[in-house]
Amino acid sequence: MDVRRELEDALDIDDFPSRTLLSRAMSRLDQPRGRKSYTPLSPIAAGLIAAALIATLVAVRLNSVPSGQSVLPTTSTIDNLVDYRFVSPDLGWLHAYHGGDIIARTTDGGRTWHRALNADGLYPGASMQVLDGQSAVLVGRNTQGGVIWLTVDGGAYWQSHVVPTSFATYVIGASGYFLTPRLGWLFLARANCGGMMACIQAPESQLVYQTTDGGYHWSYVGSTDQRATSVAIQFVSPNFGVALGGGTMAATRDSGRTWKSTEVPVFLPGCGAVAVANGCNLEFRQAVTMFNANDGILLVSAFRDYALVSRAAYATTDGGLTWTDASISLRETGGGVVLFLGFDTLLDVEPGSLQLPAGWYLAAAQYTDVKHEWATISNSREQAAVGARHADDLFRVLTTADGGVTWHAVGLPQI
Amino acid sequence: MGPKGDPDLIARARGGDKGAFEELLRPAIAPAARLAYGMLQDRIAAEDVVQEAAFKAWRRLGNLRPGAGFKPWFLGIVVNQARSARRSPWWQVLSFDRESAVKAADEPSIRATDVRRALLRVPADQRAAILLHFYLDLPLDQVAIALGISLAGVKSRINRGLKRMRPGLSSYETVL
Repeated sequence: MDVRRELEDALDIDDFPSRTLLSRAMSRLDQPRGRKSYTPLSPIAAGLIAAALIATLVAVRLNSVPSGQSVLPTTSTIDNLVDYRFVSPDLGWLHAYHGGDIIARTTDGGRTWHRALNADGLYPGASMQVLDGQSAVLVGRNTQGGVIWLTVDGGAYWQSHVVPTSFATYVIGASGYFLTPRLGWLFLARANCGGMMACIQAPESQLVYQTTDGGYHWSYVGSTDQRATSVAIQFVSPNFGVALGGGTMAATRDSGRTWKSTEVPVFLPGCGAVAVANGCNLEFRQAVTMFNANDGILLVSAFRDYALVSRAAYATTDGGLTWTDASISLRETGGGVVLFLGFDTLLDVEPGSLQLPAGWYLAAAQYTDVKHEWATISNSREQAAVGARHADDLFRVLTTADGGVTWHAVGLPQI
Repeated sequence: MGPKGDPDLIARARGGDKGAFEELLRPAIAPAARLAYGMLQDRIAAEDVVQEAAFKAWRRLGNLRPGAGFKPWFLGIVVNQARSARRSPWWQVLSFDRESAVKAADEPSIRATDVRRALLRVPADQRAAILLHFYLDLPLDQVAIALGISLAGVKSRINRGLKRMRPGLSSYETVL
C-alpha cells in the first residue's frame, strides 16, 4: 500500500457536500467585513472613554493574570485544594482542607470567594458533591461513623447529620451521593480485622445506607464487596446506580439493596490482561459516567512512576452488567484529560496546547458551556484529578471565557 | 476548468463579478475541504475554514499574481486558515458511531486511526505539503506555489513529514 492509498483510507470524506459548501461560501461573501465606520468623537468624550478603558484594564490586570506567565500571584495558588465545581460561568463551589474541611462559594466566576462552611473533626478524605447552585453536600467520617453536611440555600445554613454505627472503629472510609437534596446514599468502607490501625490497608466491604428525608434518617439497605476505602458513586434514578472502586464496578437496580459486581480486566502491553486492583506494578485510576440507566462509559488509566502507561475505555448498554471494549474511541484522543459528554461523544483536552508554566501539569478540566471552562493545573505529575496528597502539591485553577484562547488564573480563597 | 480559463475569470472576479468568482471556486471547493479536513481532522472546523478562506480569497484577489493559477493560490489560503484555526482550541470534541463504541475495532479502522494520529503529529507546514501532494495529487510545483516556497523546500518538507509519520504509516516513500 502506498502513501496515497493510506491517506485516502484514513481521511475518507467522500460525502463532503461540495455544492452546499460552495453555496455557503458564496453567501459568506455578502456578509460585512467586520469593519465599522466611526463618527468622530469629541475630545471630552474621547478622554472619558480613554480613562474608563485604562481603569478597566488596570482592574482586569489586578484580578487576573494570563496563564502563560511563569510567575503567578500566590493568592492564585493553593496547596490543599480538594475539589471545585462550577455550575455556571459565575457560580462555583470549592472544597479545601486545612486542618478541617472548608467549603467556599463564588458568585462572580472566582474573583471573590466567601467561606460557606468550616467542618472540623472529620478525618481527611471527605468529599464534596454539588447538586446545583444552592445545594451541596460534604460527606466524611469521624469517630462515630459517617457524617453528612448538607445545604440547600447556597451555603447560608448547613445541616449536619451523623450516621452512627456500632462498628465505627472498623469504618475506614465514607463516600456518598445525593440524587436530590432529600434522596441520598452513604457508603461506609468497613475493615474486617482487630482494630482501625491494623486495618488501614484492608477494606473488606461497603455498607450502604439510604436517606429519603435529606439526611435526618438513614437506613441500612445493603452492601457491596468492594475492597476500597472510597468508591465513586453515581445514581441516575432512584433505583439505578453504580459504584466504582477497588477494581470492581457494582451496579444496583433496586435502590442499593442488591448489587452485582463486575471486575473489568485491562489489557496492557507486556502485562497481558490484568485486574485493575493488583495489576503489573501499576497504579490505576478509574472513572465511570452513566448517561442513563443503560448506557455508560468506564475509563481506566494505568500509571507507572506517575506517567500514563495505557488507557482503556469500556462501554455498557445494559446498566453495567456487561462491559465491552470501547478503546477505539480513545485511539482518536491525544492523551490528555478525557471527559465524556455523551455515550458517543467525548472531549479530549490536549495537555500540550494549553501553555503552562514550567513544572506545571494539567490535572483536571470542567466545562459549564462551550466557552466557559476551568482547568486545574498541578505542580505534581501524580495528580490525575484534583486532590491534595502532599503538603507541597500546589494547585492552580485557570478559567477562560472565550473557548480556551486566553486563560486567567482564578483567585482562590486564602485558606 | 483549466488554468487557461483562469485569467479571464480572475479579471472579472477582481472587478466584483461574483458569478466569475463562483466559477473559480467551484472546482477548488472539494479539494479545499479535503485539505482542511486532513489538516484539522474535524469536519465542522474544516467547513468553517473553507468558508473563511473563500471570503479571504474574494477580498484578496488583487494579491493573486498575474499568470498564477487560482486553485493553488486558494489552497495556500486554506492551509493558512487551517493553521490559525488549529491554534485556537485546546480541546476537541470527538464523536463516534454508537456501534463502534461497543464493538471491538477492526483492523482497517485501527490502521486508519493510526494514520490520522500520525498525520497530526507532523508539524503543520509538513502536513500541508504531504496532503497537497499525496492526498490532493497536486504536482510538486503546484504545491510550491500553494505554500509559497521553493521546489526543494517542498521536497524537504514532504520527506521530513513522512519520516516523522512512521511508524503510523506503513508505507515508506521519499520524494526526489
